[in-house]
Formats: sequence, C-alpha cells, structure tokens
Amino acid sequence: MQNILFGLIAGSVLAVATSGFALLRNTERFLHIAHGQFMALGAFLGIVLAGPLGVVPAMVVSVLLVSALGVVSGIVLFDPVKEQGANVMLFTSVGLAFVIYAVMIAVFGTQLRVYDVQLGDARDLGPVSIAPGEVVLLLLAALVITGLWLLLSRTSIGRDIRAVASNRELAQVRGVAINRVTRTVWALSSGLAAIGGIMMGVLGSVTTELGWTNILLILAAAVLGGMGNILGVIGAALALGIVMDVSALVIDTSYRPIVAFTILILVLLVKPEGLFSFQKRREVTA
Amino acid sequence: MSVSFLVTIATLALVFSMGSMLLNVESSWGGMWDLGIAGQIAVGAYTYALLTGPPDSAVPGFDLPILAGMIGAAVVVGVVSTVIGWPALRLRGEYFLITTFAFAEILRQLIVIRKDVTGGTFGITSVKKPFAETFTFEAYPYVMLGLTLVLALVVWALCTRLGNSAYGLTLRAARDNEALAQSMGTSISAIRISTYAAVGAMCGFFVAPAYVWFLGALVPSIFVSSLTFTIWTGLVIGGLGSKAGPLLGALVLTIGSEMIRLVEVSPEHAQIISAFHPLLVGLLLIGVLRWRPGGLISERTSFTRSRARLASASATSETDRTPSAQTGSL
Amino acid sequence: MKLLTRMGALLGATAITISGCASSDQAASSSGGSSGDIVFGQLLGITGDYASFSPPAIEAAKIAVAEINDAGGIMGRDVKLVSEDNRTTVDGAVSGFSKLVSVSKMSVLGSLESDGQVALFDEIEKRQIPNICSSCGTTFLDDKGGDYSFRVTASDSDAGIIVAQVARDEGHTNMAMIVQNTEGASGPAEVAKNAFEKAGGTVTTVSVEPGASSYNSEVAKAFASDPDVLYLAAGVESGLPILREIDRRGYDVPIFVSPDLITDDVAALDNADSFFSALTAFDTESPAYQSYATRYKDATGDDPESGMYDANNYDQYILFALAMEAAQSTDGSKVAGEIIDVASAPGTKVYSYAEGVKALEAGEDIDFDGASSSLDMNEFGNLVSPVLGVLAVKDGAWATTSEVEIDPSLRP
Repeated sequence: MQNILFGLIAGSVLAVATSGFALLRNTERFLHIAHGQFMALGAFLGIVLAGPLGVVPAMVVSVLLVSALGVVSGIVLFDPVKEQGANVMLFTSVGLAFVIYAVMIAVFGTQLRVYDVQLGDARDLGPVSIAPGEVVLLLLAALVITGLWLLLSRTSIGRDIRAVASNRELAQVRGVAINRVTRTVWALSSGLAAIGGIMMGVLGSVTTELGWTNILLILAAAVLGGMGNILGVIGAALALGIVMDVSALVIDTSYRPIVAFTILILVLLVKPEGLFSFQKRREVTA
Repeated sequence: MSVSFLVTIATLALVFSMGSMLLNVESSWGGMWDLGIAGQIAVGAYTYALLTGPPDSAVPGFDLPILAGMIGAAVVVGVVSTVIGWPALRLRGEYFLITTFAFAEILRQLIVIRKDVTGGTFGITSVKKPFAETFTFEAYPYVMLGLTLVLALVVWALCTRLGNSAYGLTLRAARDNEALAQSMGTSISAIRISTYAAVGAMCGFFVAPAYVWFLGALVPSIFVSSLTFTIWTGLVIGGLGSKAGPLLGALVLTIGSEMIRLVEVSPEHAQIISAFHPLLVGLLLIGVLRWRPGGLISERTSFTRSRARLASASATSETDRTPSAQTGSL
Repeated sequence: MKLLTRMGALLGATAITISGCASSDQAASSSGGSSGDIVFGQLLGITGDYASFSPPAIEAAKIAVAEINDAGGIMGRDVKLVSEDNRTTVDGAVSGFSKLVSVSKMSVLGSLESDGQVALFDEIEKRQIPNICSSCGTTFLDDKGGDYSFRVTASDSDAGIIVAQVARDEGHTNMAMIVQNTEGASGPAEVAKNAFEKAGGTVTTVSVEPGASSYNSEVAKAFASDPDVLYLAAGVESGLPILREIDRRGYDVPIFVSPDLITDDVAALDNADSFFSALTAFDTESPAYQSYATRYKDATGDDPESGMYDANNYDQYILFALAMEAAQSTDGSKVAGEIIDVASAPGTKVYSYAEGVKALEAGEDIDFDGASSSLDMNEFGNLVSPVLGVLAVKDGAWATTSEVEIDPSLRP
C-alpha cells in the first residue's frame, strides 16, 4: 500500500511533466526531446532566483520565463521547419536540447543544487505514512492537471486546441486561429515542463543532467497514453509510476527501469497503433 | 600543430561515420527510425571484448583471435537485432523509434546488472587491439587510423553498393509507398527485418570493434543515449539518404567538436569551453535542418546519376515494353 | 565516380600531410623540453556525470600551481596548468588525453577518474607520463600502479573494509545497504558486504540509479529488513534525497555514508547526527591543511570538503612538483621514480612546496604530508594508510572523531 503511494507521488510528477510533452505531440505532431531540458531549466531558475525573490515567487517567475522561451522557440525554430515533417522537428528539438544544455552548463555551472524546501516529517495516515510536503506535491499536481483538463474541456481556446489535435486541416478550414493555438500550446507545454522540473527538483536534486535522465520515461508515458485525451497520458504516467514502485517489492530495484520499458514495449505490441498498419494494408490491397 | 591529436580525433570520427552510414541504410533508405543503435553497438562491443579477452583477467574472456571476435560480434548482434526487430518492426514511425530507444536502455541496464559476465560498472579493462605488438606506441595511432579508415571505406562501399542495387531500390520503394511495393510482391516485413538485422551485424563487425580499439576499455556508461544522438546528428547533418553524406557529416561533426579543445583558455574558463561541444552539435543540427534540410549532400543529389541511368535505360527499351510490364512500372 | 575521385584526392592529400608532419611530431613527443613553461595536465569531468566535482578540483589545482610559481617554479621554470574536459566518458578521456599529450605537451597528468584511468592506463605507461589520480578508488589500481600511475585516495578495497569494521566494532549485526550502481559506489559496497558477512553479520542490498526523481521504494525496501545500521554508497545527487527520505520516514539507525557524501550539504541535514564515515586520516591541525584551507576559502568562499576531493587535487600537483625538483628533470621516467619517495617516509617532513624545495636543495630526502592525508604510498602507488579517520557530524559540520587501523582479518 505504501508503495502505491510512492508510485502515486512519482507518477503525478511524471504526469505533470508528460502532459506538456503530450500537448505538443498531439497538436504540433512531433516528439519534443528538448522538453527534458525545459524541465531542467525550470528547476535551475527556481533555485537561482530564490535568493533575490524568495522560494515561491522564484518558482512562479521560473514557470513564466520558461513558458516565454517555449513560445519564442516555437516561433523562431519550429514554425519555419513545420512543413518538413515530424522527423525534422524532432531533430530540431534535439538540437535545441543540446543548446539549452550547453547554456545551462556555461551559466549555472555543474555543481549540484538543492531546493531549500522541507517536505516535513512523515505521519501515519491510515495504512500509509506521508509527509506534509508530499501531500502538497500531490495536491499541486492534482491542481495543475485539473486546471489543464478544465482549460482543455471548458474554455474556447481549449476547444480550439482539441480541434487542432484531432484534425488540423479540418480545424483550419473551420476557421480556428491556428497560430493562436500554436502559441498557447507552446506556452502551456513549456510552463508544465517547468512545473514538472521544479517538482522533481524539490523531491530530489537539480543537476545539468536532469533533462536527459528523464526524457525516456516521459516518452514512454506519452506513448503509452496515446494520442487522444490528455487524461490517457496522465493515467499512463500514474500507472507507470505505481508499477515501478510496486515492482520494488518483488524484484531487485536495479531492474526498475527495465520493468518500465518492458511494459512499454509489451503494451505497444498489443496496442491498436501497432495493428493500424495492418488495417491500412488490407484496405489498399483489397 | 600536433598531428597525433588530429589522428586521434580522425579515428573517432571514422568510427562514428561508420555508425552514421549504417544508420542511414536502415533509417533513411529503410524508413526505420532507429533510436537504439547504441544498444546494438554495445552488444557488439561486449561480445568482441569477451570473445577476444584473456581468460585470466577480472572479466574472463575466450582469448580468440581478433577476426573471430569481429565475426562473433557480427553474429550475436545480428541475432539480437532479429529478435528485437521481429516484434518492434510491426510498429510504425514514432512507436518503432521509442521501442528501439527502450530496448537500447534495457540492454545497457542488463550489461550493468549481469556483472558476472560483463564486469558491470567495473567494466572490461583490457582489449585486444590488432597489430598492437608489432608497432611502437608512437606509430600505433597511425596504424589504428589506417585500419579504421579501411573499415570505413569498406562500409561505405557496402552501403553504396546496397543503395544502388535492386535490394536498395526495393527498400526505398517499400519506404515511400508500402502498399505499392507489397502489391509488386515485396514482403515488407522480410525486407525490413533483414535490413535491420544486416545493419546490426555490420555494426557488430565494423563499428563495435573499431570503437573498442579506440577506447581501450569498456564500461556500460559508454552506451547511453547520447551515443545514439551523436551518430544521428552526423547523419542528419551530412544528409539523410545520401551515400557520402553520413560519412561527411560524422567527420565534420566529430572533428569540429573535438577541435574546440585547441582553443586555449585558463582553467577557470574550461567549463565554458566544454559547453561548446553540445552547443556546436545543437546549433549544427538546428542550422542544417533549417537551411539545408537535405543535409550537406541530399538524397536526391546522391541518386541523381542512378536515376539518370535508369531513365536513359528505360528510354532505349521503350519499344520493347510489353503492356503488362507497362502497368507494373506505374 | 567524380565524388569518389574527389574523396580519394582529399584522402591522399591528407595522408601526405600527415606523414610529412609525423617526423616532427616524433621529436616533440619526448620529454617536456628544457625551457619555457612546464605543463601540468588536468583531465577531468567538466561536463557529464562527474561535473559537480570539477570546479573545486580546478580551484585546488590552481592554488597548487600558484604556490609552486610563487616559490620560484620548478628548476626556475614556471608551471602552467591546462585543464581538459573528459566529459566523464571514455572517448572524452581518450581525446582529451591525446590533446594534452600532443598539443599541450603535458609533463604530468592529474585528476583522472576511474573510468578514464582504466582506459588510459596502457597509454600512460607507454608514454611514460607520471599520473596521479585524486579520487579514483577502482580496485584495478591495487596492484597495477606504482610505475607511472599513483593515487592519493584510498582504494575501494580499503574503503569497503572500513565500513564493515566500524559497523562490526559498534556491535551491529544486521546491515542494510543502499548502493548506487556506479563503479565508485558499488566497488566499496561489494568489498564491505564480503567483509561484514565474513565477520558474521547479515547484509541486505538495495540498488539505486543516479538521477531518479525519488527513492522512496528503495529506502522502504532497505529498512524492511529491520537493520541496525545502514551503509549508503552513493554520490550527492542521489544521496541527498535518500538521506532526506530516511529522515522523513523517521528511521533512526546509524548511517555510514561513503566519502563522496562528506560535504556541507549533507552535514546540514536534520538527521546528520546519525551519519558517520571514514577516510584516510587527515590532520586539520597540519600546516599543509591549514595553509591550503585558508587559500581555498579565499578563492571560493567555502571550506574544503572531503567529499569533493579538492584537497587531494591540491596535493597531487605539489607532489608532481616536488618529484620533478627531486629528479631535476621533466623526463617522465625520472619524475615517476621520485613520486613515492617524496610522498613517503622516511624523510624530512615538509608541508609545502617551498619547504620541500629548500630541504631538497640541502640534499635531504623529504616526506611531503599533504592537506588530504600524509600521502605515504606503498610500492603500488597506493596510499599505505594504516590509519583511517572516522568522521561524524558535530554542530552541523564533519569532524574527525577517532582513528582506527584496518583490521587485517577482514581482508579477503
């Protein structure tokens, strides 16, 4: 039971981080590898600005700054190459990832940083033990995710985003302001990345390697979650987190990453996406 | 200007260029975007090291001759690639990409965990290098460069041959229009698995041993995803789908990023200089994709001559064509 | 065909240029010349996994080089420090080493970490470059060093035994280990496990990946075995979150941490009074430590931290300089031959470069005791260290509380 809680905590941080990634994937249709670096940047800014601004204001400012960076990247780097296809955008993102990584090393240096945030002592709450800070983290994650869901389902911009995600051409024909959607998605995605990065920093520590170590897990959660509803991705992230932590009960913990990736592969093999192509083939040769 | 430093980075550049050329075959021509090549090289490297290693070292080996080690590595990687490819290739596009990425990480973790076989994080500390005993240590870097150059040229020749052959044509056809290729009798999955496995085997025979000779020791942390990204970057910069592009791209990338070391700075600025390596890689990627998206040498340019030959051949045989063949050539 | 011809021509031209330069390169690759600056090479992970260790290491090296030059340099020549990035990867180490040897023309090499050390060992021996390792514990060097490779940090073999010994002596019988699956951590952990089991104890091991976002499950698993002592073998990146998690859940057992965790951040944790560690004994009262610590503080604003191995980096370069002075030559084989002598007893004790030079000029044998330890070495270039200091956190800072000798009965 305790392990499920552990998984929930790790999974909700992963969910926040992945939701931003999935947003971009669904609407702009490419894998944004630099997402990890945006997370790291958010984490670093949160610490570095805490001195002059205070811990919480620094986090807010960090999220705003990273969102802005995301919008600018979208305009300057990704829009120009959009018609070349998803693969080119993927590698542009890889390039951006390397550039951000380099700048972080040069500006922040490579020393390990820690958030000056205490999560408090664990108390027993029924069958599990949980610390106040962990409760806050869970609530924050829930808040962010709920906010995102509400935005997507209840607001007009959210409706536009979903329209573009399901059929870009049709949305354009219908008169949806594509550019506005693109900017919004970039801002949201990058902001979510920053929040995810800060949460990871608070739970663990912050190094320049943070982006690279997390991107594979985010990829896995995003792919498992599928291209449809954002909730699918959230669910996948939570499930992944829980499975990884529960598996620690039965197998050696060094196998944890292997467990996550094996599940990913197995699900992919069974999942419809893999069968889609057979369907397509059947259609054409019929 | 010191030559032996240039020799060292040229050797590394050639190792990566072999990786880029092989990646080109499966990814650009085959349409299979493989993000797991580091895993295949890892399997090849460890197989080679274990087959040729001395039986009395911390991680015992079989002490086989070098060529046997290379062949053994090729076989093992070929088999592993087939095993991985068979399920993975049922997936398309980004799903294949993520699956191979995941497999590479799984393979690396297994190498770390199975320390009784691989030495785990302690690694394999001595490797058998070809002709190591015959030459002085000062001359040896040149020998290694020569050897790696020969290997790279062989890989280049093989890949070019493949690209120009009927097999290559079919492969690209399967990539561009799967349904059509299938209707012409190509077994898509057969051609894909055989390509993936062949690329794997060649990584095991050429890339892995050459990399092992260069490094002199093996640890699992060598085969993290940045190796895959480096090889991909060389390919993208050089030109996806061209024949000389991957070679050129990897050379430019590696030599460019290592040459940064020649900029002399005081120690406290060493950090800024080291940040240049990823900065250069990133800027090159972004720049090339934006302004020269075909890469330094594009696929179209690369195959212009072959297309011209084909066109002239079909023009002369126009009168010979039977109606059924005509529909087929749609 | 045209492309092939072009490439062939390019390769041909390159080959001719290379063979033309080769002869001049040969001449230059011998000893570091007889005039001009002497180059001290430093090859370390400025980027990559070990990046957090490099800023203190570079600062410490600079302090050493400044001290040497202020005292008049070596044989009247100034020393120049060239720091090169190995990206904490093997290929980075190979190319960085190549640059330091052939372009910078270094005479000595310092600061290499375990993976690079192992990969470059043969090259170092062949090129006869004296090489001192400041933080590599790999057991590879236990019996291979002493000719050109030396180290100023304890071997993992010793580091592992001392864990078992201290735990045993405190009366503990059930140990849990949380081990990071990197060489620097798993090496000593394996030794510790064998030694502790040999002494009759039980060990439960849980492994962790560096860089994970949380370690809650691993900590829970480790404590599920109800241990009376915990050994944490990890770097700060995973170590800090793990220690905080232990505190959060209210686990209260003595925690033996690996030397990498002897840092100020760790000492500042709430549960720090249950931490202890062991290191090659160093004397904070020694003149070498005092003078180094003052300068380090002036340069960085911080005190030296054992877990960052900065003092070790300082010591290695002073040793190189003294060995060179003793050999009166920059020739690799001669310098390497002096390193064990200037570092170890017998000899006049000296605590700084200037003191050492003065004694050498007076014709004496010297024994440099450094800021990180007495630096005495055995014939394999490993620290003799019969004495290790046990450290604990007192008033928010790490301090040596006692000294122990390694119990030989625990060795395999």
